[in-house]
Amino acid sequence: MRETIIEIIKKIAPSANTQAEDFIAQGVLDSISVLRLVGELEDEFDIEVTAGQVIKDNFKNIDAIVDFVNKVLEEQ
Amino acid sequence: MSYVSLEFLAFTLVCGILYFLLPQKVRWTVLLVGSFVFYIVNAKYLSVFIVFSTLTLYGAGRWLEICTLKYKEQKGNLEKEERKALKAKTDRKKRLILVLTLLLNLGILLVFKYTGFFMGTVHSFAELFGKDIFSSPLRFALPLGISYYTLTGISYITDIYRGTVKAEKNPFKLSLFLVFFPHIVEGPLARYGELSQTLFSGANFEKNRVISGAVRVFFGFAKKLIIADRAAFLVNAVFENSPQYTGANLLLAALIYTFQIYAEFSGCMDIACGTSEIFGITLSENFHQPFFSKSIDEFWRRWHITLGAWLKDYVFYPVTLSAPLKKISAKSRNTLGSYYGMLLPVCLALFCVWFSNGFWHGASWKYVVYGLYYYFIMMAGKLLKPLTDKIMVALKIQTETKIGAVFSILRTNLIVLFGMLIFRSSSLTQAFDITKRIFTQFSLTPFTDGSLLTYKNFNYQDFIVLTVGFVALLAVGIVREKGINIRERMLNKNVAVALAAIIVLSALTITFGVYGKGMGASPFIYGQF
Repeated sequence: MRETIIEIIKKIAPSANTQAEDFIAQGVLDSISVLRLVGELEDEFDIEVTAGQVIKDNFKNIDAIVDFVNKVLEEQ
Repeated sequence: MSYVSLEFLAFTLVCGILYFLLPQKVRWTVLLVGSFVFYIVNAKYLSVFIVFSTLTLYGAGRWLEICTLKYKEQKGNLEKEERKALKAKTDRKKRLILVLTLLLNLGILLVFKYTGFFMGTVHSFAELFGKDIFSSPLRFALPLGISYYTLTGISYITDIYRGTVKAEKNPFKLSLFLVFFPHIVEGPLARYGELSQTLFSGANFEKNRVISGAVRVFFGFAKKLIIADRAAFLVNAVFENSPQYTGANLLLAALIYTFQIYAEFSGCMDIACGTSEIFGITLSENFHQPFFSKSIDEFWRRWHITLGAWLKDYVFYPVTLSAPLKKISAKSRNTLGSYYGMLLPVCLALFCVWFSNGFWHGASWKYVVYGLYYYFIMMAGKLLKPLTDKIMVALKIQTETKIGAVFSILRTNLIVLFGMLIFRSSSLTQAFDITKRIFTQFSLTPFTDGSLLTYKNFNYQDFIVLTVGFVALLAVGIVREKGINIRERMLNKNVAVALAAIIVLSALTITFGVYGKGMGASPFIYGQF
């Protein structure tokens, strides 16, 4: 899953440093990239993301995104 | 009681003494009583509305939490299908509670702030058909800070609904969260999850923190009284008699207004955040050197940050991630590709964001146009991005160079300047007229005959004070942009340096500030929203 998510981020932001500590603060992802990421995650992992789940903590870095996807999969 | 008054300083001092004298656990009650005194002194009988909003938010918050707890209790004993059904039922109930609470609180804001606007619009429209309806639109006095505490309340109840914060059990604590006197007039817009961490903790007296907060308060005073209120003389003179002035004067007035509103709004935030810091409470920052932005998107991430973040979390994402737009998004991504496919829902969501942004600022079409002005600029940037990126590569234009950065900053500030021109104009007609005359009636005569610097209640001496003030603000901005915390540096060096800064800022404000008989501090511009 981790590798897939890294691939998705590279597709959305080709020059992004996927090892960044904080994607939002370091400008790796802006609000539109986050939306594109959400769309790709929904398609790839067959999950449904709500507006309330689009918070900084869930998209802060690769670890946070992996945890978030796992959590959503568990809940669903 | 204005933030820039001796009464406010005395009030804060009394609150501070009582706060640190009381036991840690009950210190927040001083802020609660103080905030209500501040609110009632300013809002008088209209204070009843913030109490009503608090009660509805408190009740709804607790109810939402009870629904969630009940579901968690019951789901353990159920099969998967039954659990799903129960979750759907609970979600429906929670959604109903949320919608009713939002309608109630937004309804109060709409009635107070926009009744006159709606009636006036209907009147103008009816006039086109020879009808006379609502010829005297109703105008209500606004409860202090209603635009701010309504948004703060909406974020509180929505976050409980989303499960990102827990409902406050103590109604008085929730009341303090909404009415807290440093943020009730102009924000910053607070989030319960963040502010509650320090608001009720009753921080101990720490000399360095208190002095640091005081330095920031006096810096805010200086920005407001020396720069903003002095700039207001020139700006008011020009905008109140714009047909008398040439393009050069009009352009200068728009430029000075941009600095005026920044000095005033960020000065108010300095007073709000500095006052809170004295009590050991952390408010969110609302400004981050906005005039160093290289794009309009970046500008709005650095200007009125908490409003932008609020609109992103409670308008942009809910709209783009709503079921109908998700369907559109999925279809458009298949046909238009990942980038343009996503832009379609973003286009609609951003329209909602910028319409709301403009409309929130005031009940007038000029504010709607102000919001949409940024909307069209941002959408044009996003739509053309793949093309402009290709052109940049083809022409080998390096945007990361110093010259490129300076060009981007100047371009952004020029766009902002014309946005501020719309914002300050008394009507859309005036905004269009001034914009047109800046380009068509621009002459160099005001530069040579001295009329560029002479206005009613404003002469070249005022201009010198303003220029020095702007240079000082620019210098502070450059230092901050390099990541240097000036107050921290001062305190690390010696407390006496920070105390000296307070004395110098006070002396400068007393000497160059605009105050006194017939020259009281003008009301904060953002306090009117």
